[in-house]
Amino acid sequence: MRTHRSLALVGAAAVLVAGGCSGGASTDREPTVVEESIIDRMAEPSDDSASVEETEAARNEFVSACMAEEDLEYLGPPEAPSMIEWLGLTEEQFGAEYGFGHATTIDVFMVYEAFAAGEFEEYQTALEALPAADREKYVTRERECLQQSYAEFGFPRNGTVVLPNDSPIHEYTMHASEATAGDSRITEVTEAWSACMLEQGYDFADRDEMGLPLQQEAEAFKSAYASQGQALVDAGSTWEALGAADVLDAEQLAELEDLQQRELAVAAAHRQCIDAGHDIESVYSEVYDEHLADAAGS
Amino acid sequence: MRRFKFPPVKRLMAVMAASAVGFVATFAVAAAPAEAVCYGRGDGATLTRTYNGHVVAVERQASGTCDGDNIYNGQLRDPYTDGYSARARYNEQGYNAIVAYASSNTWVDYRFYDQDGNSFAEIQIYSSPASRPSYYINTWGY
Repeated sequence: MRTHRSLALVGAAAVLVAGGCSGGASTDREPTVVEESIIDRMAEPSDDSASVEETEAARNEFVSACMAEEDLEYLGPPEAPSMIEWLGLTEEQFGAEYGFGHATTIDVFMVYEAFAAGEFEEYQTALEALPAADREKYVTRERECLQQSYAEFGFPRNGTVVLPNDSPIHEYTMHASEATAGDSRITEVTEAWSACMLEQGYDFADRDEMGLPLQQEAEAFKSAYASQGQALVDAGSTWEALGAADVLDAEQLAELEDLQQRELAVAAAHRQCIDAGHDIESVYSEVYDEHLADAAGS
Repeated sequence: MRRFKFPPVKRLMAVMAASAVGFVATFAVAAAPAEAVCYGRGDGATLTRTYNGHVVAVERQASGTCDGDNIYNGQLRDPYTDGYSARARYNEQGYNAIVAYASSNTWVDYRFYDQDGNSFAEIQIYSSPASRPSYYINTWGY
């Protein structure tokens, strides 16, 4: 069992700045010892020497060992592939074939949801089989171990972080998000992206203006597909056998196809602008890391 | 002990920027049965979804919801302008659906009613298809 950084770091962190907070799950309480270590970890530069997969595998080993200290067998993490991985595609391939994945995934999303829920079933069954007291002990310890893992490995680059509502850590991540949104580098790359999109006939100030209306329109079709298709599934069909053409009426299908074509066209223009160097995602990620580290190191 | 303070100027700029971006389609929250994250009664956790190292969705329970009444009152927000809203999906005994959407950094309230009366379910928050491994978090005691 490795020594937790937190133990070595106790008392090392003395700084501080007078307090203020920004809504959300803010708190007036002081960080715990483990939270102090997490904050110190956030101040360190990102470690690119290990892949995301290697880091998460190491995290799982760490949590498993941490749980074993309390004679608990780690059941998690309860995860399944993303839809993109499930389809066997890279993000680029997914973008080319499905655009943003809004209206274009209507034929596969119910199959994916059933798959994902099924993947989780075994874990859920095992956990719910525990007596209430043991279940509480399990999840309480799991939370402690996950927090220790954040101090050891940092937050997952692509995952879910679980912290108490009143953790001061939320103030740091909230600040990093807000500071990044207001950073001149984000303004610049967004304006350049917007100009690039305009050259292709699309007038969007930012990516939400581009994607959210498409998502909202798509949700109406997906909802109709799910509710109308459920009757057919209840009658013996399967989601695998049911495409949108088998479920929606002619008018719905015509409108859906129009939406899908619009989505794919906008997504193609968006990809073109990324290829032209206007990649907001990469700039945002870099700037966010910087703001988070600055806040944690102050 | 340290406590973080938001730099006043930067914070103001961030708020102004967020307002300027403006377009905030806060979708209606389905008034359907659902649930969210408590760890036993009287305690709660906040879920922060990361993608490429930064935050794309945050979920927490509203104050006092971890009271064992089988009603989960949650809040969701989307701090990232990426073209996708933040979503909260619940899974429980055959029930699997998106219960809440948020498209801005302002908290959106939502409610989930337990499906089988055991005050126990799983929640998943995400944004884009790429930011969505099916990682459910257990919650009970709401």
